[in-house]
Amino acid sequence: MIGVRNRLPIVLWAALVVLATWLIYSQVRVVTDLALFLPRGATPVERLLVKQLREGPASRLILIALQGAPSETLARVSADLAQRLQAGNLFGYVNNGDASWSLREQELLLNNRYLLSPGLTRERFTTQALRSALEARLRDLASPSGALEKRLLPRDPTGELKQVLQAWAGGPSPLRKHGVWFSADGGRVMLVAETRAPAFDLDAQAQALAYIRQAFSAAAPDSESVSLMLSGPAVFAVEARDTIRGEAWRLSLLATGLVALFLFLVYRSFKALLFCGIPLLSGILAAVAGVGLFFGSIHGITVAFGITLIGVAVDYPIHLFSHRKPSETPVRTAARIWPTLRLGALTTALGYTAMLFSGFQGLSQLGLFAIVGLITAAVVTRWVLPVLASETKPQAALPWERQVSLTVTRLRRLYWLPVALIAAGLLYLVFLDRSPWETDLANLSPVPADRKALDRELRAELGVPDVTRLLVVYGDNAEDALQRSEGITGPLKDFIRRGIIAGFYAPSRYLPSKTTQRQRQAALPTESALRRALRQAMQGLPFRQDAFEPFVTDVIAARSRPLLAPDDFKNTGLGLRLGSLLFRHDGRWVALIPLRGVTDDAALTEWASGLNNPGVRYLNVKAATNRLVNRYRDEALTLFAWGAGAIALLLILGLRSVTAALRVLLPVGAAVIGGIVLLLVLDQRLSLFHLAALLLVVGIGLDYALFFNRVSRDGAEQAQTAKAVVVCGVTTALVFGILATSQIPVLNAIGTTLIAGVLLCLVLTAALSRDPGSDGLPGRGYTGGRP
Amino acid sequence: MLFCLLGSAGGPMTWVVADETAEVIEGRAWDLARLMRELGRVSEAYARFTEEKYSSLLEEPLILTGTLRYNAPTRVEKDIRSPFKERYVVEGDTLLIENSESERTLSLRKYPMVWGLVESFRATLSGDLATLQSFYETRLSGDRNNWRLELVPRDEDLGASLESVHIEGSGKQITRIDIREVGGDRSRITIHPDPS
Repeated sequence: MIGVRNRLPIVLWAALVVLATWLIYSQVRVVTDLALFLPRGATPVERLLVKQLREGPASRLILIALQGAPSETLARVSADLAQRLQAGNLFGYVNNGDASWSLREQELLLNNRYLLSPGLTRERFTTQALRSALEARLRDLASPSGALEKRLLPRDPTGELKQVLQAWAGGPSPLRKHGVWFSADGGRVMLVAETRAPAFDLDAQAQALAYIRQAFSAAAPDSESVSLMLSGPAVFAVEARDTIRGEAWRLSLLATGLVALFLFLVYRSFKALLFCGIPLLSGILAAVAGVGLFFGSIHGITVAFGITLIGVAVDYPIHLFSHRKPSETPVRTAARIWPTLRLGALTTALGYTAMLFSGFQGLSQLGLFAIVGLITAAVVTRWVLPVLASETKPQAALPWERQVSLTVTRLRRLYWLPVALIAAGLLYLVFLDRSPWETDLANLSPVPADRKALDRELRAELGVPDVTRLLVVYGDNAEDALQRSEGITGPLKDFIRRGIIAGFYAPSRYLPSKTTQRQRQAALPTESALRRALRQAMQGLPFRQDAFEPFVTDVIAARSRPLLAPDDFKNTGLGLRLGSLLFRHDGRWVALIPLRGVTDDAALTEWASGLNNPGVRYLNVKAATNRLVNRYRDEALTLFAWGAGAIALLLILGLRSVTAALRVLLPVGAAVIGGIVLLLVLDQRLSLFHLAALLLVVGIGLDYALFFNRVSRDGAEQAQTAKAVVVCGVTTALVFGILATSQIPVLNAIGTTLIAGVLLCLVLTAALSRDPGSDGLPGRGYTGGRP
Repeated sequence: MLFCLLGSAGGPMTWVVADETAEVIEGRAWDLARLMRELGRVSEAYARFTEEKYSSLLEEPLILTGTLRYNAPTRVEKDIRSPFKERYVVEGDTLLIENSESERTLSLRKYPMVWGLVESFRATLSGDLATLQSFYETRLSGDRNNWRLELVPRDEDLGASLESVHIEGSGKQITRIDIREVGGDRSRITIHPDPS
């Protein structure tokens, strides 16, 4: 029978579950913006880097390759696919080699050709230069494409527009066949597409990828054995997320099944099994709702990692059921073990409070998630679960309980082990001859090596900069940035000659600075000079005397044309290209110069720092990103250290004894250090994911240690504790043992750390467990739960 | 013999004999399909040409001379010898333009206007009636020994720059091509018998 007094918590709990579910359903937005977990960056260049990683054009680029069919088929599919992608609203820029500018863009370039044409000098308008230009035009006129060129011939006999278009067309273009890009061996057609959505918006990126696949299957029916290959940062990010998500889901299901089977073997009751899940599920609900309300949204990563962090809550009901005496109601058991459970939950939660104060919202969210989740799970175990489970029968003694109890007693002889392990572990770490940290994030990526190789291959074929290296040029305004960009093209060309870089893409190539534009204007001849040179050049050629009047008009007009500014390219494909290389950031103007085929990092760094120009920086994106994330890790580490300090303080206060606190802290500390050493010996390098897993080890270990050190009246109760801790240990080991089998670095890191940590916790906390014969730990609430 | 025809593997004589026989068997009815079939049997051809180009930009017509070579089914080469040297090779979808200073290729598919112009000649040479009629309305007049094929663009884009192409010939040989552009520019290509 459930009494009235006991019904209240159930009603409250049920109401809160409904409320939290409603809140989550209606109010809480789950976001996937990875930037939440990216540090903001301390310097302007770092902030720029983060911005580029989040939404830069390079990070939005998708490389597409088609193969497996005759080249005519591939070309047709390429054209069809490009058309479909352009028709959709998801891509701001699509190119399959068939680049054609819109009428408005052509007009813009044509009208400003004398300002934009690279290398426009006085020499262009000498009699001799005009003569050879006119001869070439005569040939054009006779050619099959003559009709095509003829339209512009009277206006642009020197072919200036062609020069401008070539400059805009960008680096070495791939082989063109049938009007589209082909790989050098002719086996693949290639396209590039730039998503409108920023790179960090993984859902939008996934949508864009799905759109490409859909357009592809429409463009290439199954009958043609064309295969599609996609690459690029977004592809990697989305695939990584899906792989991790899929694998985590699969392994979690497997682990849950195994744990359920194990718990059923222990408790022989489906009800008990069901009850074991209630605190954790309630905790997750409360945590998601809480974080969502406080921050306005919750990140997908917070949910995934948060659940890992509060995984210790599965242990709470196990403690409840395992500590239940044959004649005891669950309510009574809960009251009896509550002080220990409470101290365990509080200390663990306290460990996470440090994260609340992190500068990164991602970490703060995780901290709040863990705190709300743990406290909720503990409260539910204390007041809700016992009432729900009041009808269940106490569990009969299991045959192996005595054996476990004996083992714990024997382990107590190893009381010196935690201290010895800490000492040995610290020695090992001090004399470690390599960095324990994983400094290369790429090693954590689940993207297989052959996919990365394909990416490199496609980039090389397409002449797309591999975006890992660029020059950042700062200016006070757009003009200043462009001038500085122009100022270093000389040295850059020299680097190409020396083989240090293969090429570069300066924004000034698309839009010259006003100074340069003015120089070009000054190079244009006066009307009389032009007419004179033109007349001489035309001598002996069959052109009509007045054929090139439009040319004269255009040149004269260009002499006083307003100079071009970035805004003139607004809302065109040209503007999109320019805007990715020249933009405002942090109150200054930035010109980005992506470099292609860098062979010597050191030379570039040295050159940039020796420039005597603080406005120019060489940025190795990969190295800088790694540095950034490593600093993030260091901050997390500092926060964890504060958390550990807070835990120690709370233990001393709660147990009212330094010695008692030490008995709890030593084995847990030893397990953490031992776990780290074990990972290093196994040749793993530590990452943020290992740190998060170690936090969970701390939470689990604190519980084990606190329960092992409870004042228990007799050997029977000690045996119950031993059983409870072993059951907890086995369930945890099952879950994370399965995770550790994953080939995905992140999941493997968490699994391995937990397995090592939990097994060490089991042995070490047992080694320092309280002998039932002794007086036990002093402290409030350690007398069996009596008020 | 105009636009000198060379036989395929069997040699010119064998081929000519086989063709005459076929004509007798098929009867006397002579129409566009027949003309196309006959033209389609030519696997290789070589000839000299003279082209007069009239343009609003030019004071007097530009006279070009050079050679033409055809290899069935898609390769056509136009080699200009004077007043300057330039060579065009169409093969499949690609047009190569080559002179002493530069060499560039463009895709016909990308330039429908150029493509249309090329096919007026190439599709006729290879007897590819389907391709020819996908670009042009066709009208054949005259008889087998003196025929005239009038081509008018079907497509608006092509029609925007090209008014018509008239091809004249005798038997399997093309003797003259008249190209009229919108706006009055035109050119006449005369194909000569002697390739030397």
